[in-house]
Amino acid sequence: MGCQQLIRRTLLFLSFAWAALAASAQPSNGKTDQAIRQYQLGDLMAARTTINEALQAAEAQKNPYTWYVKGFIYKEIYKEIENGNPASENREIAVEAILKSMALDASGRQAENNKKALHYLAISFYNDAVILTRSLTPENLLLPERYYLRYKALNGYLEPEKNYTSQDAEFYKNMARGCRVIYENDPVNHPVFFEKTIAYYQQAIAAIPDDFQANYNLAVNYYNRGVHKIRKIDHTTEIFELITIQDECIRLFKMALPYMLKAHEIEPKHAKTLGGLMAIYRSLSNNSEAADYQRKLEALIQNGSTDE
Amino acid sequence: MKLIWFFVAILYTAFAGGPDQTDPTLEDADTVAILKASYLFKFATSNEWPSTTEKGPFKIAVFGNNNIYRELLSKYATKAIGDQTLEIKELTSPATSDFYHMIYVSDSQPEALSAIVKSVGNKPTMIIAENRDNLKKGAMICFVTVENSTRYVINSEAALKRNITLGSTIILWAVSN
Repeated sequence: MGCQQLIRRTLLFLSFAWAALAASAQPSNGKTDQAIRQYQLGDLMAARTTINEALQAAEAQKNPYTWYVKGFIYKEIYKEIENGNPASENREIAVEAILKSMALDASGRQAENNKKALHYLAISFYNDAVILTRSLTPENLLLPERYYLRYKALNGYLEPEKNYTSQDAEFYKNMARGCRVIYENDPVNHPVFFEKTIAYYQQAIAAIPDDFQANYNLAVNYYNRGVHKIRKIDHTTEIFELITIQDECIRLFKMALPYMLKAHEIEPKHAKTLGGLMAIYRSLSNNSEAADYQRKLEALIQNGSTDE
Repeated sequence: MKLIWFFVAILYTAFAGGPDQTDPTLEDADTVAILKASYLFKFATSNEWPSTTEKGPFKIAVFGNNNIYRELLSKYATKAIGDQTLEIKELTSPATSDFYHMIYVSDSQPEALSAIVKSVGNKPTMIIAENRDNLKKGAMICFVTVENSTRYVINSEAALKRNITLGSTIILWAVSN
């Protein structure tokens, strides 16, 4: 055990002692103290066994402090032994124990410690959600949302009035980005991920209708899908197929348009949006509108404006 | 410890970041040009020219639309029209004395169509232009926009005059004049 870790555990031990003192109305039993000492010596597995033994006693089961110690030890196992493994069962047990402590803690003596522990656990779920959206696969698709919702549920105990609108939008945008990558890496085997990309961007827009990036990205996804379909046309494509493909693409371009217009409304001086509108109108054979946005884009570039 | 909290803070704010490398980039494509090039290839494969023109390469010329020319070149240049290899050329002037099986004329220069019609004379050249009105000015097929979609209209009489037999699928999918 390193010196820093020893100091940390000693400080935590003092914190436990203070917490126990504060909980003097419901004193801990000897087993709880023993579990704390085992934790202090770095034997987390023994601490876990001992705290579970402590909770066999009917008196301990009513004691918020004992539940807090259990939550704390399981949290440490999740952190130190499992290295923050997202699939950790110990984290779930830690959460349940802390929530139990909070429910029993009518006097509020354990409130501060419980909040700290719960905050750590809630943030760990949030971090897992973030990391997974950056490495999304068809197999782990459902996990980020599960973790994100868990974070919100736990954080609800700490910040009941918190508005999650902004975080929701960012979360759904990240999910959309992850789905788009899956789709574009293998569109033949994962066509459903295009629909998921769209659905997640729509959820982001539902959270914040004026989110520029969500509107712009959604428009680009629709538009690009149309372009990809048109690019697949080759010498084997029959005339009737050409017309059918074109109709599908026109539908996609029309779906892109309102979102690109909305993005333009939000950020009128955004060169990429003007370029997007130009491309969409041109693909819809609306050359006068395309030329209009081309003029605006050229004027913007002449004025030296950039997206950044 | 400070480092750990710094890391946590970075993760915590990760969602609030701006666009990252996984944001989509708008595809750079002239979709209408891609479609028109595809139509031109189908016109080449689905109509019949007089047997006298079946020697040497099948020649397509494009005037006034570099995107269509480039699309034809990149996607269809290696394909055959019947037993003929395909040769694609971009015209820089509407006045041409060379024979082409097909000439596409864009509407970028309004006077170009009449100049090309004049250059072609009575040769069996299929002239493809833009806008329905150009059927009356010597074009055999014109691209038109129908509900945002690129379609085409045909002038069967002009085809007959130039000894070109329009294919049944071309006639079937044409928009009525």
